[in-house]
Amino acid sequence: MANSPAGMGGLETVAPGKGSRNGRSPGGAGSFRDRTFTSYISLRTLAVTGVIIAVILILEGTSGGRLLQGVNVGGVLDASSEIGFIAIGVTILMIGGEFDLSVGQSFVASGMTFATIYHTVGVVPAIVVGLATGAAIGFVNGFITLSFGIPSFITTLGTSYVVAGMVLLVTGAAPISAISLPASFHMFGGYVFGLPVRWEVVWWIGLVVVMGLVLHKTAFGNHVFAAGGKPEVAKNIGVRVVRTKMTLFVLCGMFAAFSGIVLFAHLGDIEASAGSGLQLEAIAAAVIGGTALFGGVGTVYGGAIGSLFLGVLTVGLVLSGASTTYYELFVGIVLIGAVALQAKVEGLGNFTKRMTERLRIQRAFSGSEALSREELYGGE
Amino acid sequence: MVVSDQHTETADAGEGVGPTPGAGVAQDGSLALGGGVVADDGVRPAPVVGQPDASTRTPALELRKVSKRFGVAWAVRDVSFCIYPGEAMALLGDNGAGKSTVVKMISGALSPTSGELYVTGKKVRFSSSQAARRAGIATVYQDLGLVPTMSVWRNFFLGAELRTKGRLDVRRMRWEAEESLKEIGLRNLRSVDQNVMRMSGGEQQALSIGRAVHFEQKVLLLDEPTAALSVKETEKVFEYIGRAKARGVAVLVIMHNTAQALRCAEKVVVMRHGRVISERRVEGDTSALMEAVNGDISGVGESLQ
Ligand SMILES: Nc1ncnc2c1ncn2[C@@H]1O[C@H](COP(=O)(O)OP(=O)(O)OP(=O)(O)O)[C@@H](O)[C@H]1O
Ligand SMILES: [Mg+2]
Repeated sequence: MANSPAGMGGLETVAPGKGSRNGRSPGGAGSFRDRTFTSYISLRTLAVTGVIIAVILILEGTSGGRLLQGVNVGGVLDASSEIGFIAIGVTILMIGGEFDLSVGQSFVASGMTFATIYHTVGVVPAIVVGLATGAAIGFVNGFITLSFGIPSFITTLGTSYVVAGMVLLVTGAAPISAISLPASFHMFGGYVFGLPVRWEVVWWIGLVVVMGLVLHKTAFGNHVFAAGGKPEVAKNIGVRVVRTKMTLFVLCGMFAAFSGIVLFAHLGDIEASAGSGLQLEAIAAAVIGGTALFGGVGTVYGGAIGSLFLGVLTVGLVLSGASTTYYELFVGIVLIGAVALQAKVEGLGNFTKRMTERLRIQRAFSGSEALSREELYGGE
Repeated sequence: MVVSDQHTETADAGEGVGPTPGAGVAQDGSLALGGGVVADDGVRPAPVVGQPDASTRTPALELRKVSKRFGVAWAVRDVSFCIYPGEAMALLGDNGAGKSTVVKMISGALSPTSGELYVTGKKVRFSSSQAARRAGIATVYQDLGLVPTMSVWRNFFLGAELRTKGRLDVRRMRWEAEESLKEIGLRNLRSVDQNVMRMSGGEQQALSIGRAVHFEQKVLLLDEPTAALSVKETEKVFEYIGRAKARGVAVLVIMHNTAQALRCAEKVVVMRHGRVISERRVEGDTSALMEAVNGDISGVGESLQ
């Protein structure tokens, strides 16, 4: 399929201009409905939205009607955006067929880097360095995973320990607090025109929309779905699978870094333990939002809705005076529900098959091109 | 490329015919065991309108003494044949005869140990399946051609997405995919937004074949395309292949069923133990031809040695 789009126009049957002959044109109403909406937001995402609304209503009741008060809605959105930034990266990486368990450490390492240098180098350069820290961790994750063919949940488990250790060595486990909070921090932590909503929420929504467009409306996004859905096919057709996945690893590290930077700008302090558990929450958000565990299926919007669910739960339970244990309980139940639904939709046999296939492909992708090719096509 | 350079190697020296192309092979000559027919002037069925005479045409695909060795064993030995645009060739043979290995060498998945490959007269050497694809070779894999989790139109344009200002031109891709699939004969597809996972095996073949035709690939390779299909779906696949031929695509199809092969191909090549042992044109008395081809496949001819 190497012909350029211009070359295809040569086929008379497919030239758009000919459409009117059949009374049809690319823009006109065809024999199929324009299902653009449902191709973004799956029915499952809609179902999860329903569950979230139900949870909101319950928590609204148990909190004595305080959850939906303006200031608490703002709190929900704050909490959602913190995990939401990370969930964007984790979601697109999972759609591309890989995991990142080191996002919590990218979050802390980048947030702390930013916190250490912003008052000497300036806020914007510090943001750049902070993001570069996350990108570097993502690059290492991708490099090790893709060149050695190690499953990414192992690679990133390893790097998460390494980075956590490095952070403790450098900081001596001491938290970093802001000496002063420059006015420019308001671009993340400040309130939007006197509303009870912080700018970080606007950033979050903006990035969700941008990454949603990248994923669903660009060729790169198409390649992400192909790389996650069936990498050997994607590679065979000419998609640069390794490069695509590498980009996703780096982006994932950068989104985690961004969250760490935003958290510091908002709170004014950060400590080494701030990132613990974030990797699992981000995966939970992605999966609750309809991202397939084995790649190829998911939406950025779904990941955002999953993050919103976690935000609602966090704030709602606090307002209801419930112990944080309930948080983990609820997340666990909804997570299992979401994955069970996924297995049901795919068929359980298919689910296990894809799991074994994934491991086989992971091995095949290691080593030289020639080796993987022989392994992929050699035996029938 | 000069057509008269070409010669067909047969399995046994005694049977070696090495016909001279362009010499006007007798119509009944194709029924003789080992009677390799390479040139096809004047006897080619289903002519493509506007195509020049076979003697002056360049084959879309030509193999010359192609061999492949795995370790110490030769899976394919000195295989030569050619296929013209708009023509289908069926490759038959018992299990392990080397058919798939031949196809994999053409598709770039394996590289030949020796021998040469020509695409529209140009000598080629593929380092990968992508390189083969770029040279105009489309391969319909049973499970390596489509991403099951993606929609029909996304699969259709995967790796060759249409863009306007950096964004996917979704409307045009959906429309072009649908038109192309109708053109190839797939008419009752519910929607091009449907996931490939939910398509039948025959529909998936239609998608792969339609895609090859749409992107004007020169050679279409199919390895047992009907193996997992119902009778009805097999018929449909023959229709898709017929339409691809009508568009000037050269088709190489591996089959196990001789009757099916004779129905969709103009030429039948039988392999045994890695070698081509016969090459026949599909014409005249089909039942006699079928008997002869089946004899080649089962190796009856060898008892004559
Ligand atoms: N990757 C490989 N490594 C070693 N030997 C191989 C490899 N691929 C094929 N072979 C051997 O080469 C020979 C030809 O195999 P091939 O798959 O081409 O046969 P085939 O004609 O397609 O058979 P079938 O009808 O069963 O599909 C067989 O003996 C097979 O075992
Ligand atoms: Mg085979």
